[in-house]
Amino acid sequence: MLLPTNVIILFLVVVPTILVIWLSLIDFQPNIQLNFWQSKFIIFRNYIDILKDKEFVYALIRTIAISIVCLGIEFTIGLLVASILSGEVFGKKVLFPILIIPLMIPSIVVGNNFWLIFSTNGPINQIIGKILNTQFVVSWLLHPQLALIPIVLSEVWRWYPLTFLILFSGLANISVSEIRAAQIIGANEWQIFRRIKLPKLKGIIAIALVIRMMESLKIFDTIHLLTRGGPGTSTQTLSYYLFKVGFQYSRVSYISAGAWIILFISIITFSFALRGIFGKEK
Amino acid sequence: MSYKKLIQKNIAKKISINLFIYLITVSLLFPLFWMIMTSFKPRAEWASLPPTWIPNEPTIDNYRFVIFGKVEQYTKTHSSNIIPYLNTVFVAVISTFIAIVVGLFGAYSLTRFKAGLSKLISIIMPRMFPPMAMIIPMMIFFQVIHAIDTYWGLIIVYVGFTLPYSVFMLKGFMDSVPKEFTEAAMLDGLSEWQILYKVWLPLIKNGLMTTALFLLILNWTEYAFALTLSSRGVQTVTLALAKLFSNEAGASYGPQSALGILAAIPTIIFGIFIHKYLAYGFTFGALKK
Repeated sequence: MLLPTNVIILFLVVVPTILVIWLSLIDFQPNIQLNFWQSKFIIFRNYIDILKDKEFVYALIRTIAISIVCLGIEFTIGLLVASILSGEVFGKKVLFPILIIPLMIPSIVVGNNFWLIFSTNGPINQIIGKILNTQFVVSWLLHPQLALIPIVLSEVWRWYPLTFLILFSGLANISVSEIRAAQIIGANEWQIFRRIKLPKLKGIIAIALVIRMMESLKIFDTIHLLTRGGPGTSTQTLSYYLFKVGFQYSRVSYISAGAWIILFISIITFSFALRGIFGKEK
Repeated sequence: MSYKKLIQKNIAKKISINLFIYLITVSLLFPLFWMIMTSFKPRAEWASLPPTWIPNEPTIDNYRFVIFGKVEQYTKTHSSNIIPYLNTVFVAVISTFIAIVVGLFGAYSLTRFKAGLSKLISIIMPRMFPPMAMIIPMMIFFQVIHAIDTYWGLIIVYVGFTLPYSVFMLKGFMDSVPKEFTEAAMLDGLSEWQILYKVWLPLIKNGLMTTALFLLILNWTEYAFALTLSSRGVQTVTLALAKLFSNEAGASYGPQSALGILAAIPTIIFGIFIHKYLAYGFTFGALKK
């Protein structure tokens, strides 16, 4: 019964992967009227070129940096909210569904949201202006460094419910009796968290990290909407770089080499990570 | 410390925790609040300085504009968004359904016959890398099999790239089905199909709902594949929104927000409807009892 799954995955992964390797070894330009199987092989030229390309390397580093920052903030919010909501809180039944709403909003819409509140005439500038008591005017999205703030925040906002849900499910599975026992011998909250909850949450934190990392490396929609990688190339992420060079400049072979490098790195890294998480228990 | 003081301290702590969580909730909801308000603002208030928090003259023109594509007050006309909306419903629902059914079989056989770790990892592989890295070979491949700008092309891609989560999450739920149930069913002479359908399915119903919601969200909100593989043939609602955004950059705050809200409503309603199941479902199989 595994057959349909395997067929679909084979169809969508193996065929394009073989194609991407082939494309990365040839000199194929769609503008010239020549089919790709007629292009000549240049072996590793594309790989050498793209690894020398600063834009590609910076996009790679920037994507990883954005992911790490997003994950850090998301985990802080997620863990905080999950621990509070697994205790006693007034109106928990209403808070829970409200807090997970952002997960259900398309990232394009999230991009639109943050575009609105970070626009020059938007509420963020107004609030900061009120606090500082001056006229505060910053074009967030047109500033090379500050533009990363709305991008990171929109990513965090969209995905914190997932870390929250994963951690909440984990916390819900810890038995109350152990915590009660610790309370009776006089352990404080931090000790309970550190000695009882954290060891039990290890597996779940690891899986949440890996899944979020896999998703956040794909960041594209919000960038496409908020800044288009700009100003200049200062907010360009990996996906956006691949999209820009592949589709707007149509350098197909060149980008295939980059794609294959990314495929290779991510498959190796995540396979090892998942092996580490699931392998231990057996 | 006296008993009375202890109680007082406890109450103070409780109140501060409650205040804190409500503060977090309010600040987290701010972007959503702003979008809802903007969607009811008339043109003059879209980018006014200082911004109006609550529209002075609320209007539903923005909604009429994005639904019918034409409103007397706006000079520009826009194509109607009903078709992209229906496209999204169709593609997202069909691909979620297929991914769940196929994933159910996959997860069943993985759990039942205790597959190795390598098999599990090979299944989650499509999720590991940015789709943009796959799109160029995919486009060439799709051109060969004539799947560009078609419904079925998009559905295949969506199924393929959500199937890993389908299998993974369902397997997590299936692992918690007691072995005795299956053994009893086997003694009764049920076939594998019947075990899955009659014994396991009712037991993992909640998990099934959680998985379905997660896949529906992923399919409903997908943008990168829709943009590159079917932007001419099958417009989805995310694509329509991006188009509205770039057509008149900076000049259509209201309609953008209105369409954004319409695009988000179905998944939000579904999510709130089944939020009870979500609370204990998202473990991706990492939790062993």
